[in-house]
Amino acid sequence: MAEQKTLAEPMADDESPEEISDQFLCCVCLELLYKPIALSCGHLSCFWCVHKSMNGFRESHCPICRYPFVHFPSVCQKLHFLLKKIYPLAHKKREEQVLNEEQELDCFSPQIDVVLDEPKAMDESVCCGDSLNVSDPQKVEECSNAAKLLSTLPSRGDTSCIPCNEESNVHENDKVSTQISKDDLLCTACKELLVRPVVLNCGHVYCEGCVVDMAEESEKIKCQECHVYDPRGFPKVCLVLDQLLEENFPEEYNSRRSGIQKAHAHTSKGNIQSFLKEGTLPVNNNNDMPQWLNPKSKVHFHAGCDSCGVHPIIGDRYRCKDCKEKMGYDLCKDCYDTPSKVPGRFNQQHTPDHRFELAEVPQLRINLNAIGFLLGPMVNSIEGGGSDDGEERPHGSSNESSSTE
Amino acid sequence: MTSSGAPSRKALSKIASNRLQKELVEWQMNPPTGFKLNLTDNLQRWVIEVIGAPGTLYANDTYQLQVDFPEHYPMESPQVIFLPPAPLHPHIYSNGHICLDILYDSWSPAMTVSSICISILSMLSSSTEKQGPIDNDRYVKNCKNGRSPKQTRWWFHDDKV
Repeated sequence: MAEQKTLAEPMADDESPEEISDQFLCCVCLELLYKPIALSCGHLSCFWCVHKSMNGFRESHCPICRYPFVHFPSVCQKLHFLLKKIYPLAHKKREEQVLNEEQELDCFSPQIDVVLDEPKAMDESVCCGDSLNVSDPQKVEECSNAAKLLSTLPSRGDTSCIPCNEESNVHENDKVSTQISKDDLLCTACKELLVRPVVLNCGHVYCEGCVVDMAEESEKIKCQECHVYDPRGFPKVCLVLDQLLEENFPEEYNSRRSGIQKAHAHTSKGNIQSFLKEGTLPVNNNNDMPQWLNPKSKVHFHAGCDSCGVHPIIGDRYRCKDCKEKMGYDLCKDCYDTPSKVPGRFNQQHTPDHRFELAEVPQLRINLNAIGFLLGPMVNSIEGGGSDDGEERPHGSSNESSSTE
Repeated sequence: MTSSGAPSRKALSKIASNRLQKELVEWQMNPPTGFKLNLTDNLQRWVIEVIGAPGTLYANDTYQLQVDFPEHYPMESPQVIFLPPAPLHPHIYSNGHICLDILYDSWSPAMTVSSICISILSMLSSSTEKQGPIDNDRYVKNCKNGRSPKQTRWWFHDDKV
């Protein structure tokens, strides 16, 4: 048997410098969310945790609630930078850890920090100045605390002089509120504090109400920041972000929320139900059979679109001939036909002058094992078969639904 | 973007071993009621003692669960079986294989050893008779040479027990 890590091994290597609130732990890796992605059901997981748990053969399901989805969303940068601000040390550690894994695989997640670090740092100082002008004593204290905290934080890498005792559990909540400011949590559409935030497929965050308005104008939700349509149904509120808002800005949040409820009562908007449920989208027009079960449909197993994130691609798939990355760069037909400037999901160095070719559809031999894959991909095919698999269906079973708390 | 996921029986990946360390710490701080982990020096195989819940058919019985983790845990489900003697239960075969959907088709990477244990105990607790599955002999005969239950195509139909 291969060498194993021993259970008795001390956890020194794994000791996190900060106590991380449960809500910011990824449900898959149980670590601080890193490059978080919000699925259409509003649940969060790390970039790699979502990607690795996606099904290459058919629709995927949220690890938490099993809500079906077919699009791999982009990283929610707003939350990414918030987490970086709240847990600078743990975040740094995660960054190094993930980068190591990526280098081993020679496959990278989007490099967002490099581009956005500088403007964000400026935002921070601007916001502190702003709030100081406000005649709210709590705000002033918040900002001065933030300033103090920033000044007491040692330079990165030097962890020896962290005031560990002061940053223990007891002060956990205080710490969060002193480090994030309202400007980190504004809606791009209404420019006010986010209320019932929803994260679009492109990773940008809006108030639920603002997205309803956006959808009413054009039937589809078009992100005002990146001008890309959300190919999915109406995303649900991201409850972790919602809780973060409510905990840190209780008064403003509650007054914003009640204001919005009044406005909604007037106009009776919110035809959210009319949107298709994500994951039910790729249904053949002729019948109700999902396309991945139809042997005639062209399912590109394990291949996703680098623009809209649909995974697997069904129908025509265009593959870049010039991208050198192992991952390659693929587009679904819709995205190939629409001129868009979206960079690769895995940091591919794709440029608009690259050439494309129509990719061939992988031919799956239709045998019992293949059908097994399609029906339940977690069931491994039977090795060295011989006997008819169909015979071996046990009758006792349990359909108990598990609780994943 | 393309990716491939070939299942294998190799040593734990770094991600898998990190996650198992975290689960282990959590288990030690907060062990699920009715279970006792027998520590070994092998992170890839956990042997867990199950104590039947009071007031159920299995009260005071103890059984042993063996949990084997694949290289890409938690993206792939662990293999969970009862070590002999397995409890007599309509969904548990005499070779220790457990017919429970969350261990196969309905696995989710957000589940943990602890949540699996709770599901199995609840399955035991809700049983109304201490009896093996009707097709036990046929199934066990077909599972030659320690075949993994993950290689069985299960059919889940009974949501009462």
